[in-house]
Amino acid sequence: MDWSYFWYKLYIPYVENPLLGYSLFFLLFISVVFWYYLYLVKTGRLSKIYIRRIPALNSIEEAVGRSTEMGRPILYVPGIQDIDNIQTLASLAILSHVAQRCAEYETDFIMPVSRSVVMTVAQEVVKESYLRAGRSDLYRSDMVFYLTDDQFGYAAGVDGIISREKPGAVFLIGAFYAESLILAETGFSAGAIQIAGTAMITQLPFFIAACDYVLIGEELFAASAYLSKDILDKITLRTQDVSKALVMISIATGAAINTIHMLYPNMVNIPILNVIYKIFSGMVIK
Amino acid sequence: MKREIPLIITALTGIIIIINYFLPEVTGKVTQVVRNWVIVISSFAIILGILNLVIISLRKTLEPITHLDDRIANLILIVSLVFTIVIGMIYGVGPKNNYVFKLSSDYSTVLPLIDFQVATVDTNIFNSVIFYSIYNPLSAAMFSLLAFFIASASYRAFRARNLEATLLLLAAAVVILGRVPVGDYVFGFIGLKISVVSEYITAVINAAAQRAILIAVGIGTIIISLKLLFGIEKSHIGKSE
Repeated sequence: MDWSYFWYKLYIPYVENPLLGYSLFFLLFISVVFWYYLYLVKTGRLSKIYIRRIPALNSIEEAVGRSTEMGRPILYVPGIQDIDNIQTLASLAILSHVAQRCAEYETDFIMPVSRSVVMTVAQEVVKESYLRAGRSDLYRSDMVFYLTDDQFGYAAGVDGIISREKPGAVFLIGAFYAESLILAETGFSAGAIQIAGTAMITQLPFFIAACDYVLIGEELFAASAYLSKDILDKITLRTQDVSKALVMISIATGAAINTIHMLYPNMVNIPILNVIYKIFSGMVIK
Repeated sequence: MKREIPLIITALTGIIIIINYFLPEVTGKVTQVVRNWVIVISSFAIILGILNLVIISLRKTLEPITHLDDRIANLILIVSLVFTIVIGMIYGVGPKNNYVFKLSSDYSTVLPLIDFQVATVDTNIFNSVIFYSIYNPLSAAMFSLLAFFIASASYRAFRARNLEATLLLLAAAVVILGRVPVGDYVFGFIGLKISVVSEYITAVINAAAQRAILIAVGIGTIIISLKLLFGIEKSHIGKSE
């Protein structure tokens, strides 16, 4: 085997696209931090992690309790994207918790979905939650059902369900597009307590305007760790915080170096500063 | 084993895709193969979804305990579904273009110029009736609801109940006034170019906040992916704790 050709093939994508190197560095950094915290947990040096309060997740109990008192069902919408979307997966983690509470409180649960793969996975999640709550007798396979893949067809279907069933609580958690406000406003007009969560920047203002509680961006991904009692889940939040610190330091350093370069362009004549400047400007270092 | 096998498949597929992203020349076109598998599996899943929809709708239509409006809605759904499938199978879904003469007029001249143009029209009944005449107007009707919902949601959001809501109201007022010509005219009397302030709010303050959320979302996505790869996140296989 020609090893020089092999190394050339490994190296060339990083020369053509230097940003790939940054992605690799960041992924390795997160993985190392994650493994470090995993090591601390396994060796018993870390047993408790402080997590700041997330009001939207604390209100799940309140929403289910209110629906139970009013004798109304709970509606859960996992977004309109398929199972390959990370927001849908994050939503399923919260679904597990909500469905378990519904089983414990004996509250009706309705979940229309817009993707058939999500339907099969969600059915399994809800079934497992009812089993965990010891109320498998309350589980029905038609709690989770498919409506349509079409965006506005799905919005119309869910709006119809909200108007007819008048749910006490509506959960809009996952990836949403233009239908977000249509769903949220219909839920508001039905008098439901609304908990929303999405990482779609463009839809967040709509949810904030129309819903009672909102999981903003990363809070959606932190939800499963927040709701879980497992320390292994919680270390991911610490990893997330350390990664954010790295990003913040990088942004501040990059801004400072580029500002200095604007003021003193000759700084690139000093080799070490030249390398640092190139790193923070996304240039190829040769 | 019911739990372990999906976790192993998830981890293996994820690792292969990551390696392929960082070392594309070494691993070849493995990502494309996996994507093709996803398309095939999704196609089968659609049949599953439609079957589920038909069974549940039929049950709701036939059950006497269901409300009448719910039964009617489900009946309409089944009839529409069957009608669409039948029409699609009979006439096909491909375009059937016919050439027609179209009258056009040009009023830019002193005397209007009347002209005939040749245009193509899709006359396939599936496309022209179901898609263009029923589906598109209904989708547009749903989308147009947004205009009214934005108005009602804005009204609630912009009520000055506390300091944050008041700041939001002020920012919104500045941005709205900055986007209309009369804004600059009115504030011009006090020497303020409100369109510049509006641009600053959207391009600097708003963009900075959005980027902060985007970066945090990106990190959150990586963390969730790592949890899936390492088998810590099990909610997608029906186990959360």
